[in-house]
Amino acid sequence: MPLPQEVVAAHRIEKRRRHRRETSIAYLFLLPYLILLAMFGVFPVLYAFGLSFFDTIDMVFWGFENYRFVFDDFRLMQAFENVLFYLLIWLTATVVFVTMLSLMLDSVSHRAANALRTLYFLPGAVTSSAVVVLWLFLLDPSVSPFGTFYELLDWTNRQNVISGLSFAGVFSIMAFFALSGGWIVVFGGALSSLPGEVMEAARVDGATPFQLATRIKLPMIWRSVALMAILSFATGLQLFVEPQLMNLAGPQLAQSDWAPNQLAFQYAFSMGDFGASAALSSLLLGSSLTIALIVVFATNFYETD
Amino acid sequence: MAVRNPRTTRTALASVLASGVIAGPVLAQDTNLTVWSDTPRLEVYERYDELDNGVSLNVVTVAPNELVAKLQLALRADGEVPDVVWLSSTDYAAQLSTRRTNFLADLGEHVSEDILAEFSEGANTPCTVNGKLLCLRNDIAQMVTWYDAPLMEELGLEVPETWSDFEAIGETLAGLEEDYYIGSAVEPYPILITLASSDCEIGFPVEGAEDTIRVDLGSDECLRAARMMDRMRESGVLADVGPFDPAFAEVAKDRRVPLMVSATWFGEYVMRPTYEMPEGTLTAALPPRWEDQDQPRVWSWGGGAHGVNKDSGNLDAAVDLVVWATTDIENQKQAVTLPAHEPSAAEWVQSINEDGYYHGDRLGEVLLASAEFSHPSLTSLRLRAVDAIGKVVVPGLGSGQSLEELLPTLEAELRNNARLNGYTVE
Repeated sequence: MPLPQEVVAAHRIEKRRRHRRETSIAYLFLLPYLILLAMFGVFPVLYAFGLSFFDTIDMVFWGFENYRFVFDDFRLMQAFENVLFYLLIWLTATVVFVTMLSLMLDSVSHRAANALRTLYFLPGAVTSSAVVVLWLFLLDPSVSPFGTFYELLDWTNRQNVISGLSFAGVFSIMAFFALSGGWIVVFGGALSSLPGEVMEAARVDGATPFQLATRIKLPMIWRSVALMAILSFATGLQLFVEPQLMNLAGPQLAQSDWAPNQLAFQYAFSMGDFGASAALSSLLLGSSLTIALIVVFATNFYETD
Repeated sequence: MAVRNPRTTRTALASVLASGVIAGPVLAQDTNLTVWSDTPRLEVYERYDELDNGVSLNVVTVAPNELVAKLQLALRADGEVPDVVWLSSTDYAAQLSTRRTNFLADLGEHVSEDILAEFSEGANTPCTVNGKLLCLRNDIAQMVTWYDAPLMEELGLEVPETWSDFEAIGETLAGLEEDYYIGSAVEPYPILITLASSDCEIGFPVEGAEDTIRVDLGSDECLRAARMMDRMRESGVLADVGPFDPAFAEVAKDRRVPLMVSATWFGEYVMRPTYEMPEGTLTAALPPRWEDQDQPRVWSWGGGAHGVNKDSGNLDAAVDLVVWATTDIENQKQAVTLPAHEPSAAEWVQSINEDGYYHGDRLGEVLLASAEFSHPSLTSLRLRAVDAIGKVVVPGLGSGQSLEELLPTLEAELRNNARLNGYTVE
């Protein structure tokens, strides 16, 4: 008859084997994504990073020449200023309004919340280029439904409106309506997974809906907020479509070097300088990665409480 | 001794003949050229393909503003590089002949002087970069003064010969009750064109020096043009919206645009469809000149060209195609806009005169005559002055500054941009 220690040991081995099998199955599920990530994510980044140190005519290693070229570009500082201003407006608006709207949606009835969430999501279903064209109509006082509002501010043509709102403002509006819907849906999911007992207990203790939202729910979903902030920062820093498509409004509104990503595009596809383009792209990626890592480690993002 | 079976011999002979017949067409194979075209040019290449000359074309449609990007990618990735490209803007000629992207062939070495002489005066100057002819101009889009003949008569106005006449017309119109427009103050191309026609140096190439341009926006020539545009914008006759803007079109449809200095294609493709000018009203005259010029100096607003890949495997066939496309009279007769090849243009204007839509019958000769005034400094550059104007001048105008005030900013932008693109700026 086996000894109790042997039974326990046998159980432990069995558990370890099952655990290993479960882990290997988990890796098997992850494998397709990891392969695609390697092919279309990691490899291009490494290739570009390597390319940024080469002269792309003769493929000769020439150190930081490409980076020096990028920093010598007289438009670089302005482009970064533009994008940081854009991020200031857009990121603040996104974080504040998405959180607020999601919390408010969580306190209304399910049916109403679902209907509203779908409504908020709809603009996001329209692709960026179509959004730009749509907004070009909305910003033209002669055809826009907001015409009376523009007249109050004495903006008589599209140029006035855009000067008044500033390009950063215009792109923020475009991006906000395009992207916030998706995040509201994500937050809806995060909020619905919160434990009901805690809410009940809070209500029993006499918490108002406002206190429930700000003191209980908000701290519990802070990770979703941080995730949204990080991803939005990365997306925003690499803004490209909205300024690039302003030329659809006519050459007088075209902005072909407003954002750093557009400069990278120009280096590669107008000037044929893939090395300089790789350098600027690596810089942009590096900044996003650094900020993301700072946020992750400073907030102990991956720790489960 | 082996007995020769007659049947086997016959079969053997037949099979040898058969293989000879099959091998025949395979040996005399067509030359194959890859062409990157835009949509309006497709029918040109189709016509060439139908010619029985042993050349077959593989035509790929590429959006005009994506051409350079796609070509950079194809060259970098050693992909399928075309033999012939359609350049919707002659600026691409400079972009595609840099140290990095040395794509275009020097057509001056392959096309005879006689053929080149048949083009309009200055038509191929925008295709000439550092002394090399990098493309053949297909059509030219020089400026003319489009005008509404009955409306001009009604208002008692004469077609302007000089820019002061033009400004005087503006003053008369400004004094009238209703709003009249005779141009746009905020559209980059008209601003550029008015400055250039005054000989304002917005990036003129320096003779004999490679990759050197002159940018000087403080000269009297620049100031006179800028001040004129500012004054006319003040009085309201130069609109605060672009000519393609719905607001401008509304005024035009209301028959309140008596004249406009614009490109040759403007009449057929903007004034006729968008401004809905009635039949028998629209015609054109020679563009205005400045007092001290003995003839107008016109810039081009468009005008595409064909280019050839210098590393093409079938260079001669490619050059032939390009020469045919630009100089074959039967082909160019059916072109969408004024051809750069003079004999073809003479035929082409027949159809304009027979059209019946335009007022009078002098439009054809005006279009032909104005082609002679092409500005000698109109060239292909790696930087685009229009983009600089759109980036720096138009927002400034929108926030209340005058064009004269913005000239220094524009000059700085042009100089910086030129240096970025490897030019020496004087």
